[in-house]
Amino acid sequence: MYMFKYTLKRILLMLVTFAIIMTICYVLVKLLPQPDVVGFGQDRALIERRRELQGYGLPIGQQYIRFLNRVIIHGDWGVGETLRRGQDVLGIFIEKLPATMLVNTYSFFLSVPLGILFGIYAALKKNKWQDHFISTSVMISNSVPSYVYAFLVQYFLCFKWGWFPFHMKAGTDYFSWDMFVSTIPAVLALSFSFIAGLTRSTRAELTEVLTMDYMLLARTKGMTRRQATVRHALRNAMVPILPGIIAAFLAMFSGSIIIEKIFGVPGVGGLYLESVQSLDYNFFMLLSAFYTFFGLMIAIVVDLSYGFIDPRIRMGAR
Amino acid sequence: MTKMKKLFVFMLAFTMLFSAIVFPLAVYAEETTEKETEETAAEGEENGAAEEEATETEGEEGTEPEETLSPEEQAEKELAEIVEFEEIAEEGKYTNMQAWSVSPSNWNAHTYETSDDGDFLAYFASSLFTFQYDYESGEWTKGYSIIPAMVTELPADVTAEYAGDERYAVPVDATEGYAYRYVLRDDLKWQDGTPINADTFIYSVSQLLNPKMANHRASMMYASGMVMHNAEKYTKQGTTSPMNIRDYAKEMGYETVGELIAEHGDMPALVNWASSFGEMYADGEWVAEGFENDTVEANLPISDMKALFVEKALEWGQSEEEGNEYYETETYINYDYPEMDFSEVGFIKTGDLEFTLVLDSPLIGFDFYWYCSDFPLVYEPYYEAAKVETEDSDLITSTYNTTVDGTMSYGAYKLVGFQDDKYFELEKNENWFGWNVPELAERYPADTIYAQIVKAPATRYQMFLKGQLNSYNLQPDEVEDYRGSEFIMYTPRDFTGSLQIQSNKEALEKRQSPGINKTILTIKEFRKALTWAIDRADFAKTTTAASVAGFGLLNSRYIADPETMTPYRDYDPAKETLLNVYGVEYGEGKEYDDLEEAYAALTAYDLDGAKELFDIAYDKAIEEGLMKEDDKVSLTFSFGVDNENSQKTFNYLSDHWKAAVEGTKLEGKLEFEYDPTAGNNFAVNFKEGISDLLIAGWSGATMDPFFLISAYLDDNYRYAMAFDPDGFEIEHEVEGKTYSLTPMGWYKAMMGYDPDHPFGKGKVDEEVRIGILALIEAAILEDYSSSPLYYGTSASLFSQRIEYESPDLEFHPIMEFGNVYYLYDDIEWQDYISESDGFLDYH
Repeated sequence: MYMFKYTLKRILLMLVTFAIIMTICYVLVKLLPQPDVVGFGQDRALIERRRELQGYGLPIGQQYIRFLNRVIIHGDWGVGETLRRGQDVLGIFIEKLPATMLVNTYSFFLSVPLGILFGIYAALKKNKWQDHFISTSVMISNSVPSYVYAFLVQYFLCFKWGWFPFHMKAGTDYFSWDMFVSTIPAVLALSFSFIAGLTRSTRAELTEVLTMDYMLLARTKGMTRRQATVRHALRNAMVPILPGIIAAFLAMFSGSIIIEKIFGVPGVGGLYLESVQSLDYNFFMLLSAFYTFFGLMIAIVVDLSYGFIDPRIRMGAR
Repeated sequence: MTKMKKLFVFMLAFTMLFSAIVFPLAVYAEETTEKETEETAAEGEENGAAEEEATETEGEEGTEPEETLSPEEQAEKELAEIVEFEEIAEEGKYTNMQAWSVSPSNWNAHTYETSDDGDFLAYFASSLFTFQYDYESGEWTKGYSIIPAMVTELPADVTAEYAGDERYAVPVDATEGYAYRYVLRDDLKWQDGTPINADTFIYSVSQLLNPKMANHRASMMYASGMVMHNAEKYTKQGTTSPMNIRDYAKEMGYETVGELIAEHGDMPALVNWASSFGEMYADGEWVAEGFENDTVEANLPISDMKALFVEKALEWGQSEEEGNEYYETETYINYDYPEMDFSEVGFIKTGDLEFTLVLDSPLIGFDFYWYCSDFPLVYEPYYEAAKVETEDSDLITSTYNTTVDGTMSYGAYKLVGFQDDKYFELEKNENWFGWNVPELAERYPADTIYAQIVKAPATRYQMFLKGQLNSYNLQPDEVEDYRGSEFIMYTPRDFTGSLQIQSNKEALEKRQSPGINKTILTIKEFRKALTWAIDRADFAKTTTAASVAGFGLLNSRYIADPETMTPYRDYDPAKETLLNVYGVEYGEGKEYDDLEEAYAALTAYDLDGAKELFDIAYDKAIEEGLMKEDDKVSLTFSFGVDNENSQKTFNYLSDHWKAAVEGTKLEGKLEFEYDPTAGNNFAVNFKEGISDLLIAGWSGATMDPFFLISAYLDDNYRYAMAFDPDGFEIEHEVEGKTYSLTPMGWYKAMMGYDPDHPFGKGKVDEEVRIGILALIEAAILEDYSSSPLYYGTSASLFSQRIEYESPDLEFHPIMEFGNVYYLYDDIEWQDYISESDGFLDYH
């Protein structure tokens, strides 16, 4: 019951927070001056007329009410004006999101097991050459920017050896074999730093847990090393790691600008930035709404996940 | 439940939640594709019916209807997209493989904005007549030739028919240049076979000018070189806009402004205080600060405004007549554009396959052919279906030409595949009339155009070396490697990159703080020193791919005489201007013997001179109280984007400027801040004084340098707002008589806008106009607020698969490099690549 009440309270608070953030976003973006987009030989009066017809000259509060009416009552997020003019913003976003999610999903499912396995192995082989090798690789992987991996992957795998196409396959057949193969370079480039990060945190947590007194007790009770590690050490080590993995879930919906650019992933990476740079209100508000809502949801899920992982943690309990 | 089970359940729930989001989205995307293809098939059937009807009516040989695939087949076709060249290669087929750095997003001719969209749009459109690609005896023709395209013959001048016609305001004594009749070919069709006739043109232009849509490309009908009768009024009907008082008087039927004042002297006046006076008159006093650079209500009647202009003119030592001239050109009245029917616009259907264009300003010869060859068509059923009205807007927007299904071609190619940020695919449009015109057909040798959106230059480069692209634009650090290659070609651009230097004192004062100075920029010697301290040739070589040192605002792409294709820059007055501005002398006893030698040696680089100027500027700044001795000068250098090139440009210039002040009184006092956050606001930020330095310039209107110079004078476009084009006069001799006019005054005279100084086209010899243009250019350059650094040039490699028509890859201002010829079909090309072990060498 505590959990139910707590969850309900968090959801209500989330909705209030969401409304406040969206209002702030709308007001702030409307306060920014419109870009001077009058090209040579174009008629400034006509461009200003267009803005006037779109209601840009009205008080921001009035514009916001009209915007809410359009979005909430009519479910219409509008069409692009300065970014992808004339295109349905929701349609564009939905069209582009699967590509980003696909690449990130493959990367996620590749990185999580590998990262945890490397971390466990390094912890078990602490201070031996295997640990040093993994730790050094992790250090390098964390230090080198992702675009460097991306270019190396592309240069060797796509250009030099010709194993993969340069770019992700065109089209919407996301679950075809050709599409899978074409995403591999991007997935590899994306996964390096994720694997490294997960390896490092798993190793650090597990190393600490393995030296705990209860581990010694478990071994003296007659458990094998494997049993003690899996049943006691790993489970406790996962308490701080798992919420991090869940949080990485959010990243799946926001594409990497660099990786998408290099491997031709037609995803949403960069769309948000473009919408701000070009001050396209419809794109900006849609993307703000999506990422704000999703971010708030993830925050709740992460908080609740502590209770599942470690029963000692009880949300909302007095 | 044990902890492990709970953990397992949580992970399972997490995976299910994830799947619940990912998979429906992917499926939705697929279903959307299928649904769209179903709609396409349905529309295809309708169009097929339209085609049959047309065939019966005209009694001519019909075209084969397009192959209609079932929805399943369409969906399958859509899904089976292409990744590699090998997958679409066929024997005897020529595929043009391209890589674009930006995805086209809107190819609606009424609203498109970027040049990429314009290039894309060109594949689906045709012009009424076109410039011909041909050359004589191994050299490009110096002039031009024009062939009919959508018309049966070049338009006939029918001015005589409309002379004195009050509906279209053609002068009674007009004999040529006001009205042209276009006769269309009878085989014009949309890609689905629907005929194109005069009604199509009338509908398209009426929609372009639709007042409820406010399409910004509507201005091409009245604000470019062409002024279609009533096009502006039709577009702006029902709105109120400021109109110059002289034009207003004429519009209301008065001969002079005086007559208007006599009857309506109490009408409220509008004025731009900042540009007209530099001060604002309010409550009986002149106010020096706190007013914006915009046309606003003056809170005075038009009769009183005249007194103000005259008062100020006398105060500036000018005559009453000059004050009156200022008044009549710089005072505005709100004009209510009346409701109007499209039949009043100078675009008239005069037959099923015939329409007439009526102009407000006559166009003759090249100018007519240049400006009046294109009236972009829209396909009515799709256009009407694409109109969007939203709850929070009174504007009708349009989604026309943003998807494959919503695109209807009347050009050489049709769109068969498109994915945003991914690719597009075009195939030959069998219903294009141009396949029956050999001169047009030979321009489009490719059967298919397949373009991928490849944003990373390194990827494009690798793809090119593997034979997957027809050309590759070289990056700055790659040009040197290929300089001697037989596959490199240089394309001069019309863009001149100029250093814009802020000199708006009020804005600079606002942004400086104790110990940090910016107002030294108001001292001309300082601005001059900044430009003289840069070796422009080295700058261009270091920071751009192939651009060259730039000295003038207009580069060699600007053609002053289209009849001979002679660039403005090749004329002696244009050269003299630059030599005078940069202090290079020639003649007896001078360093250079003649003009050509001096011009060829021009560098505009004088480091020692720059150091002297820095000292002079510093002394002046101290003397005038602009800065203190211990102050540092900190300048913000603004960029629209943060990329390697912006950083390289910033580092080059800031390093060289810091080095240039060594040994001067400003040593150690000059700092620069890199600001790449401006985005699309880089221009407006600079105009409003939010940044101090910027590299920007203007391009376009390559066949009309006289018009383009207004970009450096007009408030709407000018970056250097502190430079006042009406603030000083220049003496110049025209046909034996000396006149004294402001730079803006000379511009108006040169364009034929000033009846008292009729030096417009056709009124005086072109050499005279070129002389005036050079005079204006010098006036702008000598202010050192806009200093050219480089003339844009791009370098690219073209594939071993193709060759260009142009002999020795000589660039022609209109024809560029001419037609492309394929040396290998797709299969032969694959074999060719295999023989080279998959990698092609272009060195």
